[in-house]
Amino acid sequence: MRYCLSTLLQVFLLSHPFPPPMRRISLSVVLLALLSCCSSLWATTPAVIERDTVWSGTVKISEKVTVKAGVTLTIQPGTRVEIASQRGIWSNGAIVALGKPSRPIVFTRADDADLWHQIMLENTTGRFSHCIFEYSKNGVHVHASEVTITDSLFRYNESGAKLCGEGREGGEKEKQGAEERGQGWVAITASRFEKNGFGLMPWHARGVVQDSVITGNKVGVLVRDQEFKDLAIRHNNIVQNSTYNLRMGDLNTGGGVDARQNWWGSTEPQATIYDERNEPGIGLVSFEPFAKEPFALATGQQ
Amino acid sequence: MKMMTRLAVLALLLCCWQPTAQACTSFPIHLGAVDSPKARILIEMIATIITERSGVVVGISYFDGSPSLYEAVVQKKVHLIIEDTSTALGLLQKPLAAEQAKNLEMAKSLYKQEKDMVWLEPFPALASTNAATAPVITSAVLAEFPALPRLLKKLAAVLTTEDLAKLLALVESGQKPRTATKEYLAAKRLI
Repeated sequence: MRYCLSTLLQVFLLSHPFPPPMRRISLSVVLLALLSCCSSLWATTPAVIERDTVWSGTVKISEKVTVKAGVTLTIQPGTRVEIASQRGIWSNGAIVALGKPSRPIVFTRADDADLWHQIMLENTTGRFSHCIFEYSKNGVHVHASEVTITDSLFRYNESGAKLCGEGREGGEKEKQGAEERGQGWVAITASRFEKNGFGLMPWHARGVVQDSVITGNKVGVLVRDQEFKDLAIRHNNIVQNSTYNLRMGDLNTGGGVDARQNWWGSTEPQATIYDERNEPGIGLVSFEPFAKEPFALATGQQ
Repeated sequence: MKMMTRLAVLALLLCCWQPTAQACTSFPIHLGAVDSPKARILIEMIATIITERSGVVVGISYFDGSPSLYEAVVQKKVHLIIEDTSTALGLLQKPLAAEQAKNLEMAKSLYKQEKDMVWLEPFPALASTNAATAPVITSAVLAEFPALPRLLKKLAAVLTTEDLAKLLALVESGQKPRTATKEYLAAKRLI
């Protein structure tokens, strides 16, 4: 289509020798049209980051941004990333977003737009500290990547973070069979998940969630499916989530989850957990021993 | 003047042209139905209950008729549909028996054979004397989510004819199917 229009334009210009005053006007009109065309292209073509890049100040994302494998996207402290509805960052390259307590990095929606989609990390690495993720569908979405998140805040998202140990559905890693799939490891520490639909959603995840506060979400932690044994959720305050503090998903056919040594807001944690004991076959949450009082935790961006 | 008109048309063409954005359709479970208010209520209910209780995000598509719906199933763009045995046997050009159970058995067997699809537990709220309505799922997606029938059975067990009529009235009076069904499922403590 683009090629056709360009050819059409060339043929038109060649076949119409304009008189001088007319030529100026005509060329201005054509130039304006071309500029308009180019801006449309810019606005709808996915931006691809193909070399190491540093973001600072305010970064506005109006289209899907793709970070290529082997490339590092560094986001400076104090950067505000404003993302349009349904857009986000899809990264096969590394993302390093290390904010500071006084200068957090904020990932938020553009103006009053609907929720932005996610920061997807696939088969790569990511380091986030002192970051705020708000008004998104999935916040940080990890597939088979090595990711650390510390001192960060996830709020007002449909899901704060989705953690998956496998490659994306339909992706190359997915097709290779379980033993060949990327595995990844996620470490979330000293972070806060507050007022999200689902605070955290692990899915065949490996890693650790500790020293964090998960509160005020509809569901604190929803375990979609958990095939692997090495996910530990420990030393957190998981309290006052409106339906369940921790819920095994109804479609889980894998194993259970190790969630020992957490504070659940009461001395009867079972009442805030939905698992095998409520519905046979969906996996057991190991929550004993549990903390008898809240941990004094300093989570990021409170 | 003629030249100016041509120029203006060309400029307009260039201004109006927008490249088409690619849509992501890779949902692990994609629901489809022939469009009607009742179908929208059922599909929204199934989508909500799956997402809220399992975390699996599902896609939804509506179609103007059975041929386009089944074409989408063949193309693996849709994995789970709502179907009734009368329509199903009609599509397969099989006669309808007087008993509901016989029709259901025949539909189950022929769908497995000819479409590699599995009929799940029918919704009693949608039953008639000789027809049953149920979610029908592709074998491949059922193998991936073996606990799905159990989850949908919960909905089938709760939904009554009266509930459905009330939901239909709400939707016909202008409430969005998603809102109406979410409120209903929450009231029934299913989400």
